[in-house]
Amino acid sequence: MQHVVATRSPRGRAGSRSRPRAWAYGALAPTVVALLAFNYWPLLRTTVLSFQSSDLFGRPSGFVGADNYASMLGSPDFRRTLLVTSLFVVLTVAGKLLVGLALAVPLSRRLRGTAFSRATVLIPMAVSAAVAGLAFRALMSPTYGLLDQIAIALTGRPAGWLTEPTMALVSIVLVDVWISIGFVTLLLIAAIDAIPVDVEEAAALDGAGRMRLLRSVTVPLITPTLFFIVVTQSVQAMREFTIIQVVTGGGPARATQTLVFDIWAKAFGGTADYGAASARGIILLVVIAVLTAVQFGVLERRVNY
Amino acid sequence: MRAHLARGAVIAYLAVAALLVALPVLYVLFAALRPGQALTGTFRDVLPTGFSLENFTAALGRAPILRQMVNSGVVTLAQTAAQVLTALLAAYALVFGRLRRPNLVFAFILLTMMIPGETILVANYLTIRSLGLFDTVVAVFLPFLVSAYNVFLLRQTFLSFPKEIEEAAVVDGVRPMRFLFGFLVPLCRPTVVTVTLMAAIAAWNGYLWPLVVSETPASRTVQVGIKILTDESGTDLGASLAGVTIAAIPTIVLVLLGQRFLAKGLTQGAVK
Repeated sequence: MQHVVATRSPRGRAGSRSRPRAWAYGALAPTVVALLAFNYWPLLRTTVLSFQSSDLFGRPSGFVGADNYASMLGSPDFRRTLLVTSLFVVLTVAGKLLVGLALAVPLSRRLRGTAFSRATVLIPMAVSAAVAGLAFRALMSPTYGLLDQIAIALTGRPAGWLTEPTMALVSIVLVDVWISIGFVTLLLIAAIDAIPVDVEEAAALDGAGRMRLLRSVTVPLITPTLFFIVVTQSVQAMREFTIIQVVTGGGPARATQTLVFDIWAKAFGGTADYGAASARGIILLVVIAVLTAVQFGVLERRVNY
Repeated sequence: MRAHLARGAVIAYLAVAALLVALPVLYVLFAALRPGQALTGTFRDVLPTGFSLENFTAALGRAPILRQMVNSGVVTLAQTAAQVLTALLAAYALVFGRLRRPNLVFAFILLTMMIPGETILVANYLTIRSLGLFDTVVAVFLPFLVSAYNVFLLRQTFLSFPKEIEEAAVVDGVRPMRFLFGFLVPLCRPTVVTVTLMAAIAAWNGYLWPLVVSETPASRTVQVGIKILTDESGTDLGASLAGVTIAAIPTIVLVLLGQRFLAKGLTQGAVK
């Protein structure tokens, strides 16, 4: 092995080049130990737990094969949970792209007088999910909240932001879009700024209007960033917990119960069914892995680099 | 003339949009400072009407918010220090350690990014239970001493550092740790600052894990504390929103101070 490396190293000092430095193991040790203890080991344990049943106190009480998976996939509640999760992911990602573009396209033109707007749009980045959730819970509180005030003024009756099943889903989508909008807009502004000016000027000279320019020049040229946003934000939406637990608590009547919320509810929300929670955890892992792989496979072919 | 009008319209549109984005934050702040009923249920709630700290006194009286702020501070300091230190050491070893299979080690680290924290939630909870650490501040940060993403970012930066300088330093007898902390870290300061800021914000804002591993109010972090304060305050939104304001201040300050570094760090992952 030594001579192979040595021949690749024309400037000599082959000995020190090929032998790993002793300190490197020490420097890597904390990282490797921590990742083994709190990432790889729990993954193994989760897999094992997902094939076990648990007693009332959460202690494993024997292997039950794929029972946890079978009863999960056979339950209408779980299918509903998957539907809610998919709706939440699709709606938040679409909402973030639309609102992000609506803000980033005009902001990227760096008009005088927009510096304030540019700074203000970044505010949500500074706010935690719990803080944002509680702020919107106040805004959406029946009758007294501002958003319900607006609904009453417009339609004559309360919107039921937190109490109507469909509205509750819309509400958590709204909060999730709000909290990511600073980050998404920042990414999009950076992408649009990177488009060479002459490309847009050439299109304008050819008589392209504003909307045409956006549709045929700007959006196609920022597809790598749009792709990045879709991938990261759909994974983030799959994993969202705080906003849901804080704003709606998964309700009303499970209308906003997503897969991650279900994991928590099974293990810590009244019951201690660790087997069921672990089986859902494995499903989450698989769904996120498949989602990422599919997006890279399907979307990347349509991305311009 | 038409161009002028169009420009004015864009500026007006952006100003309104920006205010709408900022509205939830202002709404909370105004409600927390409003004397008497925090929300009056009228459109005047979007304006600052009155100034009083009575909601803050009520919040501090109802829940151990200050204690929870200290808990969050301890968690943030410990978690950030550990994540930055472990990432610096690991990235340094990956780039300058002449490991036999550096890519294999790097893959071992990066693969953990594919394991969602929610998947291993129960298993880590059981580990904390069996270590006897349930309901302690240590339990809140113990599983997060290492962040693969931070290792990734620092490795990228170290890779662009000229190898010759490091080799010359070694020949001159500079100790490895002296080189890392005396030369490399100061020279790569922007990335180190970015990584530190992102780690601190993530630590302060954690929610699901602190919710699961703590039980008594005095050992909660403030993020969980304000949710429980709100649940217990019922219709008295003033106290709840005062608590929310207190909990939000540290990250708002951090983001304002570190705006420049954050913008760079956050967009870094998106560059192809």
